[in-house]
Amino acid sequence: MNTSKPVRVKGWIADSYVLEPFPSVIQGMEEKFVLKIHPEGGTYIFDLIEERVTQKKLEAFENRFEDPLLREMEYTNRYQDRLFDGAKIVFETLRKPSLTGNLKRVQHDEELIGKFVEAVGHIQILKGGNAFLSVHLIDEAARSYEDLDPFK
Amino acid sequence: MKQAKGLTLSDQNFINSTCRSIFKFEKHGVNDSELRQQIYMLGLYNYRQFHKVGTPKDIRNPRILEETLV
Repeated sequence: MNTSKPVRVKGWIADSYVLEPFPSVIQGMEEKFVLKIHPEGGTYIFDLIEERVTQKKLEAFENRFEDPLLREMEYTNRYQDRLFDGAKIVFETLRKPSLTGNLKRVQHDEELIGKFVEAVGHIQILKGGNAFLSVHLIDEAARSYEDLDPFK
Repeated sequence: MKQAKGLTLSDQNFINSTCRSIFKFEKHGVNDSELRQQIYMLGLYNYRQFHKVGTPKDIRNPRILEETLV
């Protein structure tokens, strides 16, 4: 399993703080860009992400002495992963992600809600041993299951 | 005693979260076809989780007893 492969999630934007970043609650901490996606294909994507995260954590732990940021990494469940929020997949990043196509013209996060996109990011492991998904690209996308409509 | 069938608290939370998102999408103007797809996926999850069989390999086939019925 290649854990450095990007994570791609297709779905509808349920929450967006990519144009106006989420303000930090801790003074001195950077603001972060947050995107929450309601995936189109059901729950299998949650299992897939969890499986890849477990694999990535094992790899990060085994190679922790090669990465100065992970040298003190713990492999515990002390800190929770920040991958999901209910039925949504959460992406977060400190660098503003790129939007493509018509999404480039959008001025406010509110206008992104309900847009069908593909978010592209990576699994990131923190030194506390917990994981999150970063996002660097938000692409306009076409639905894979348009034929599911029974009245079409 | 562990229930053989039925939705767990975690399943119910997932369903509640999905319902909230779908309504939010409706308010933000998703088209009818997208709305029907979202509601189909919600129904599929509900049905299959109740029977403890998880998501099918092919989401177009919601059957539990046979993979396909020809």
